[in-house]
Amino acid sequence: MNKLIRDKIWLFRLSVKKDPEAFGKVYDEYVNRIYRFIYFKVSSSEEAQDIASETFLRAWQYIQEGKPIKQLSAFLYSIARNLVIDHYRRRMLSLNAEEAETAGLFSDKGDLKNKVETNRDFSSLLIAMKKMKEEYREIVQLKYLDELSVGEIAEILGKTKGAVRVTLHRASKTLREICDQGKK
Amino acid sequence: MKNLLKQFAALSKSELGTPKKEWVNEFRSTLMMGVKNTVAHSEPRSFAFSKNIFDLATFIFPKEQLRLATRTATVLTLVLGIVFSGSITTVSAALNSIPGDFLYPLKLMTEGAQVRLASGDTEKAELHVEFASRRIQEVVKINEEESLNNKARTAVAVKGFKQEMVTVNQYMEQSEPEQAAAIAKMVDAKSVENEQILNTVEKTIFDTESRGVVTEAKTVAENTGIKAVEVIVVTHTTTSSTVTSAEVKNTVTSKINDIEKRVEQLSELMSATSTPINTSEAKTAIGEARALNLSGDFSSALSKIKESTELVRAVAALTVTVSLYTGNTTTPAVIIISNSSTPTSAKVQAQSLEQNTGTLFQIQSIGDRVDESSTTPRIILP
Repeated sequence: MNKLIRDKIWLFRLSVKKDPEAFGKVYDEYVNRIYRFIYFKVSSSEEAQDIASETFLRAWQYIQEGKPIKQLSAFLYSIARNLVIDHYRRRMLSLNAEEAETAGLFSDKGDLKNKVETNRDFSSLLIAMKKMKEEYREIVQLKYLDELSVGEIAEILGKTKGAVRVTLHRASKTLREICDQGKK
Repeated sequence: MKNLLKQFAALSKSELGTPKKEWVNEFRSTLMMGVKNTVAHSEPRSFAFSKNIFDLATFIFPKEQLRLATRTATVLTLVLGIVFSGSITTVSAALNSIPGDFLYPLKLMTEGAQVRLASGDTEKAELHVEFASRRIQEVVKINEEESLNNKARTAVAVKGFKQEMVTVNQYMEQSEPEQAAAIAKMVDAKSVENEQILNTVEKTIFDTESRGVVTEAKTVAENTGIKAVEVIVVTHTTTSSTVTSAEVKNTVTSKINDIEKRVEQLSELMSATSTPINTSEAKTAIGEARALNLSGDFSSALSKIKESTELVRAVAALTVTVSLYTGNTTTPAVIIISNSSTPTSAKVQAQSLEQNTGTLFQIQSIGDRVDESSTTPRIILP
């Protein structure tokens, strides 16, 4: 089934028919992706679980309040992204600068080395992603790993489609260049 | 990039970043208990069946698509009734598909079936005009996505568009005068819209080859538009009852206005980039076309329209195309310059632009790393 149509049917069942089973299906479809999106940005699986849980709870609250949702996937990713940002802000306040930097798989203190050694199939990709700036890394993840459309990414990042296309073009080029350099 | 995509696919299937099943299931139970509790305490809503379906339809189909979808949807439902369950979701997925999508061949097959089911040349031609527009919408959709396959997909959509235009041209040439005129009026109405859409898309395509393909499509759209005017003029000459003088005059006037608008746009472009290109010949031909149209000499006016179109094309080919792109509100304007000549020429034009606008730009190539916190407007060279 076309993803867009499926999401629209679920949104219809959620907002008009208030069907709880539809929310269960949304959870089943999106939980792994939302978790992974968060996991790459935070230090641990426990933190990723907490934020992912909060994401779905907030999503349900929003739906209950009858607020309009344009695109289901962009809606969920936006909530997750904003929660991660809030999470970092709280960390900055409660920890010292060095401790606060320990965040995310691709940070200096992240557990990337272990992942690279145990995952040969995509080791060069992980190494290249570590070398990219966060903005580029996030956008290639959303596009090529989460397989979101430019429109969805634009809504998640709060940018125009044109801006996303240009950033994605640059990010993809950067990723290719880093990988090519790594092969030499 | 293919190797990278394979790695992304492998990463997607791997355990890395996958949540523990226990947590997924446990949290689901907790979540659903809370969700059901919330719903149990809210008032149930009930709808009449037909209103329910209408609500669903308006959720799924954007309004402008509903009208277009109707005829094709009917045929698709018949086709899919045999193969699938004929579900509304598969119908819509096929209607919305673009080259490269799994259901795209089904979309094309359905269009073919619609033509076979249509009665009469006028109805068939109308369908081909509609399908040509769809191919252009597909080009727009393809280029809204930054994807590896854009080049190939754009080429498929444009090829489809050209084929529809060839067929439409054949109908205009081979039908009886009354039918030919009716078809030509449909084509004339659509051709300007198609050209404008292709013009907009052309400016947003980074890849040179794809841009060239879209430019070709623009030329085909233009030529078909002029052909339509020609058929209307010729039909009036042979049977003035089918097409009145007033109708011809209006059609020719519209076409002249379109060409004049293009010349104005090129002139604005030239003054921004100080490109030394002469549009006076094109302007003269346009003036002559207008005078001939006013005097009722429509055939000669048409010749002048063709002449001015060729002149404008020649000018456009030499001119640097400057497209203005603006990112989000915190990013300054970025101008992307593309042309068919050398990168050095593009750089010279960029420097001209700086001088003419009195603005200092940061000149760079596509793909260069950029300091996004900078407020200096940028020019991106091909």
